[in-house]
Amino acid sequence: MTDIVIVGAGASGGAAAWRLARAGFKVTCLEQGGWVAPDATPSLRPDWEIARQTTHHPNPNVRAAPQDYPVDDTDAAIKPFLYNAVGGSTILWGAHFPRFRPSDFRTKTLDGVGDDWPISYEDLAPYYAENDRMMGVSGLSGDPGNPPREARQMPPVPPGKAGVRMAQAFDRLGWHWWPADVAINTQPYGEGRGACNNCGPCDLGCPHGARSATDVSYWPQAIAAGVRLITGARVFDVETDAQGRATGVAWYDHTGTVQRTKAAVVALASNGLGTARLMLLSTSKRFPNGLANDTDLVGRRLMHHPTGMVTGRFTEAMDGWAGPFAVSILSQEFYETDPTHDFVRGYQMQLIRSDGPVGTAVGGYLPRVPWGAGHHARFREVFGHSASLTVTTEDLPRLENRVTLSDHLTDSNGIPAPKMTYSLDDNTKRMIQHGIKSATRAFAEAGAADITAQSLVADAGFHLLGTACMGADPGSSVTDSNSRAHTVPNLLILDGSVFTTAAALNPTSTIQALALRAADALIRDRAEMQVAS
Amino acid sequence: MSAMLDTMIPGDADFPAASAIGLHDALTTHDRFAAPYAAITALLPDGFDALSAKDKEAALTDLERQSPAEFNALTVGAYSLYYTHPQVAAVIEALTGHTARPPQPAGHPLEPFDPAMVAVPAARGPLYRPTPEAKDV
Ligand SMILES: Cc1cc2nc3c(=O)[nH]c(=O)nc-3n(C[C@H](O)[C@H](O)[C@H](O)COP(=O)(O)OP(=O)(O)OC[C@H]3O[C@@H](n4cnc5c(N)ncnc54)[C@H](O)[C@@H]3O)c2cc1C
Repeated sequence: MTDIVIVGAGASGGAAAWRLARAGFKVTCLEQGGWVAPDATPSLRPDWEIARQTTHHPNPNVRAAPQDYPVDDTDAAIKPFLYNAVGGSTILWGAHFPRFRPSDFRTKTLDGVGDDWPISYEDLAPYYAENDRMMGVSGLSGDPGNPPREARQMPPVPPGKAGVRMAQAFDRLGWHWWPADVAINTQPYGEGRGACNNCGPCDLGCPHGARSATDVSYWPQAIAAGVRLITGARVFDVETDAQGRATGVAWYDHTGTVQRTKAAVVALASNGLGTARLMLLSTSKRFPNGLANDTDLVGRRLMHHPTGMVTGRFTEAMDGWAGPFAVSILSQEFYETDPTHDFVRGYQMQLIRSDGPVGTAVGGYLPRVPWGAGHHARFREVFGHSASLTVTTEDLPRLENRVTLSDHLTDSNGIPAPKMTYSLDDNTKRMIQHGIKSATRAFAEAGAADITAQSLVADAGFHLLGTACMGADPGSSVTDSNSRAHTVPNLLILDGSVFTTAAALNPTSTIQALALRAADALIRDRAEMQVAS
Repeated sequence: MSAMLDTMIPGDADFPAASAIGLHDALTTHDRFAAPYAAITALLPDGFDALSAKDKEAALTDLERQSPAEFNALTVGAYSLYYTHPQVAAVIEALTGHTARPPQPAGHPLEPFDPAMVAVPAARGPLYRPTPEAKDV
């Protein structure tokens, strides 16, 4: 019997495991993937851009590694991106590390849409700060777009030529911009973690540990604090007693043998897709529709950050292959609701650097370089000459966007795969169009020679949120403000499933801050906790 | 088969043609790209090699229209193996400064962030909306 079993060793699982173990909890973490060796990164190999399309593809359906589970995405306008390993999806992430704005927690009160969170920015602020210290954040104080806070641990990442150019354009337009907050070391920081050398493809892993993934930030410290981390462990059921209290989990080990771990508290940290899947799989007499699913909200309200993309090509070389590819500067000029817009809420624009030779030729930010007589001339024009602005929008929760169980796909253990059903609403579509106009204007101001837009990037389902939402009312939410299931008092949900609304920015610093807060509440309430007898 | 690949990637004063770097052999032996390559070559019209450059382009354009998925997979394969070839990487380095080696372990030099850059946005007042519980934290 362990005090707590955590399912998933990713961003949230790592943070909570560390916090709880330091407070004296006996913590077991079950993770279906294994450890990823830092020196196994393909960015040390000449075929690194091929690995990006295959073994390191962020879509589990393309990668199809043994530890992956497939995702039925036939009815999903946005495709799932995630990774299954110690470190979870942070193994592949770009490491943007913004915080929510205060208004993000109050969309109902301020704008009459979505729902208010049962907590505020102020409630989360100390946990954001603690998490920043653990992950290591590079950035700059003084951003007028966000409340004042503690100094970041390190100075911002280099903006590159395109970053400088776009910053000047934003200044001329009178628009907000700021160096991005990123979980990438610009100086050595943390245990044995070096500084970024601007290699580019952070998504392939970082042999210097400069990009903070939880396998190099939280996990070494969590294990030192006594956490028992079992890899190759795929959980398929959260078991409950007759009163509906969690008693532990059942899982397959790497040989396919069923194992059981009994625990006083069960915590799910399997991300917005994996956690919803596991809750729906965990049916019982008390919960015939899935664990803690009396409200039929488990799996519903799935939110992403629907993303448009605008790319500017400059006649001058921008050397966009250098520097962490996803992060540089960003603009939150259109972040808050503005009554003159034809949509509510808002979006941010993040400047992305450009691709390597293969990525440029195959196409991504820009259309594919055509084959044939003009191939080499076009390659010369575009390679290293572009930069892109994402239009990252706030996705409002809708019941019909959801995770269910696939009726035909299973993983290698025969466990039903999750199915994503997802479409965009008109508010989001209008927001993306506005964002495309804004980003186009910014590139024109910066002197781009030509500008190309994509109105929806389908390969952008990396933020999986809202599928077991947090709320004050047990009738319209799955967990309380401490991430504890309303109907299963000893079940915690630690990942982005608990998001009440999604904001318009990368979620992981908020996911981890919530996980630390949930852990603290558990530590505080340990004596009164109702556990299975 | 080289005629098809050379139509797609013909080479110029700087870049080698596909055949000059042995792209045919590389595709034929690649675990992922061999299949789409074989699929498209099987669909080539008889006498393709003898066609004029213009007619070869036209024939491939037709093939791309008829078998978009296979042609796409072949193009991805051809570009992937062409642009990771050391000879091509060396040309790119000479033309652009993008070093002909993997991104790691050496990385790339970049000017650090200059805090003076933020003078204009830093001078703006708070842009975030107040909430009922707003206070400095
Ligand atoms: C390519 C890419 C780029 C990204 N870039 C950014 C970014 O710049 N900024 C940002 O904020 N976010 C980014 N993200 C998203 C970020 O990685 C996630 O928000 C974050 O990792 C979520 O944390 P989590 O703990 O909820 O889940 P994860 O980190 O995904 O971890 C979940 C873990 O649970 C395990 N698991 C799932 N089901 C089971 C089971 N049944 N049994 C056992 N184990 C299980 C999985 O194997 C996995 O390791 C990116 C993601 C990707 C894929």
